[in-house]
Amino acid sequence: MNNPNKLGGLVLQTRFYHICVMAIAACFAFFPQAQAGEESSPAPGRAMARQAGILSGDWSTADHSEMEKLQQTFESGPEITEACLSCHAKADDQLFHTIHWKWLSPYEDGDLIGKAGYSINNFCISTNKMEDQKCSSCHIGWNGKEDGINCLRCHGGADMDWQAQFKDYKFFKEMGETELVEEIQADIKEAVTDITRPTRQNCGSCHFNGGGGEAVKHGDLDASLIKPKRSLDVHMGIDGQDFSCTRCHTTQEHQVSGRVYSTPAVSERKSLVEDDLAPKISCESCHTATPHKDDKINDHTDMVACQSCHIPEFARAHATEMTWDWSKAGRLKEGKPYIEKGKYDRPVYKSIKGTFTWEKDVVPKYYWYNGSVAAVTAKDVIDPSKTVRLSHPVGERGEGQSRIFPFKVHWAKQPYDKVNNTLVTPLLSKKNNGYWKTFDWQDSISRGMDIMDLPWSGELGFVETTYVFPTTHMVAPKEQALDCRACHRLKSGRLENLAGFYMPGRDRFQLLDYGAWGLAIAALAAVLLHAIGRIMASPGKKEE
Amino acid sequence: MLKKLICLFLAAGFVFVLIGTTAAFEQGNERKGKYIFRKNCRSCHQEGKSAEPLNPVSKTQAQWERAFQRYERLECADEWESLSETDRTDILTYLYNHAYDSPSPATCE
Repeated sequence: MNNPNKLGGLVLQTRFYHICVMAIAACFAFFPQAQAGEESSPAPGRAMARQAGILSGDWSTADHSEMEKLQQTFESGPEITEACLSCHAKADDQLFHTIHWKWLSPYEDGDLIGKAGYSINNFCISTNKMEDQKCSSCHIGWNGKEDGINCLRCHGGADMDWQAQFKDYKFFKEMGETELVEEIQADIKEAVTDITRPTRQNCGSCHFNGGGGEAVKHGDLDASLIKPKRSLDVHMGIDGQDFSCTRCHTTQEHQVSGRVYSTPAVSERKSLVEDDLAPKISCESCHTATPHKDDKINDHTDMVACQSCHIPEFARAHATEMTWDWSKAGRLKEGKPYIEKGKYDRPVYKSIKGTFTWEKDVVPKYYWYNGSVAAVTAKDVIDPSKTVRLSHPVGERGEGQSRIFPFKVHWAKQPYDKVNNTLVTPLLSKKNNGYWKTFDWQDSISRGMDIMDLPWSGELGFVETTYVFPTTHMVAPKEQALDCRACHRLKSGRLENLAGFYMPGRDRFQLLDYGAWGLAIAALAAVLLHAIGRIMASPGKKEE
Repeated sequence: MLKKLICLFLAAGFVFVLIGTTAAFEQGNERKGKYIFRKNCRSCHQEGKSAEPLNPVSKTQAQWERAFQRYERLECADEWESLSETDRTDILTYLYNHAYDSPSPATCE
């Protein structure tokens, strides 16, 4: 009687051993492989991007320092441009069609949208059709729109204040200061032959200083990007890929890709695999729409833009301006304008501009965004009882290319016409005898509105406004990307304010929760009951 | 004769006082100073560059004078040394004449 039982026990034991051995073997078989896999093969998106960037480097076929045309005495800016155009014959015609020259949207007819049009922001408000002279210091011409294009603004390797340089040259020449004149001319010659593709300094001299100072306008574009570490910008880091701006902002006939206004930077989400001439301006151009190893994360790319997780905060190196209150401008100390500095050594008060606040490591605001930004112009009637959205992202869930995207939102209080309910465009520059010299709102607004050919009632008020910037630079290394719980959580998740859809972890359906818990408890109870039943019903060994 | 002497003394005193209130240094060439300042100092001393942004209105006349008397203590003393005495005076003349508390402050915004 005993033998069969023993034999049965033995069989069971061996089977258990087999299972154990197989399980352990399985662990060894799969685990190391998975780990080794992570080290050896990069994520698909990274592999694609590495291929796209394989031919990086400078492969210029020209050395401008050897060109005869450039070995002459240049006494004015336009003479330099003429020398450039003697070879690059089509360059000026191409440039005249771009936003860099026109300051008007090349995608819309008329002169409504753009800095030189009726567009308005909540920093220095308007360029008054480029009449406000201080604004023109960023224009690519030698002298605003006069005197033609200054090619060296974007292609010059030397850091040079050209206006001052030629002014000094002329002055000292008239004074007969030959030694100085020669020195200045030598500097000019050296600068004229130092020709590059646009470097970070070239682009940054304007784009890192937008809004009247370094790091004022954009939270993701400032002087920290001239020599960033990889931890600040994974693409531009000098200890990493060391990309210049033009690696992504590719150009066709001097038209630089990447501008966002009423039209998106890209009309289609395309990778270079699908179209090798597609602009490299979106992440997907190089990284494709399925860049991650984990398919669950790839499932997000149709709804969540890469930037949302990969730029956890903006202004990670330099603080950026977050608010500007024009209504506080005009206070003087002993009859003189003054500046007060605060945290981050940035101005918190300027008599000419009002009060500011600055922030560092700012968590972006998230909105649905199809790539275009809608904006209020100086011609539009506003509702001053509410905060006016001077610009806001366009898009909603399920509509076209709309995805969740991170933004910097800049708040301001700025002047408006209380009778016409329109935003006003004061002349500001001292050279124009504007507000920064006179501190007279009435005069600067009435002359500013005259230039725009817009009505001004004389009734000045201040209205709250917001202005948005898509956050797309300063992509952090993957280790710093947001994890699932940053959004998929019950309270204070990053997407808390986005409504109209169900998001696991954030949203709950109470009845379903109760039902599921009920079922789980019932299942547990059933198991327990069953176990008790088995124990009670099993014949004891003693009886056997 | 005494009258003449008194007049002379008064005139001399007036001139002395006038010099005292304008500047404690001999004025150089302001225009040259502006150029040398732009070329040698502003290359670093501007927004987004390695040193604190500087222009004439960044300091008062007295502050500029003090800075020029004690430039050996500054981090960029070597750059100062590479300039001639006249160059330095020219720069100071430009900065002093357009300082924050000068009658014609520079119009950098």
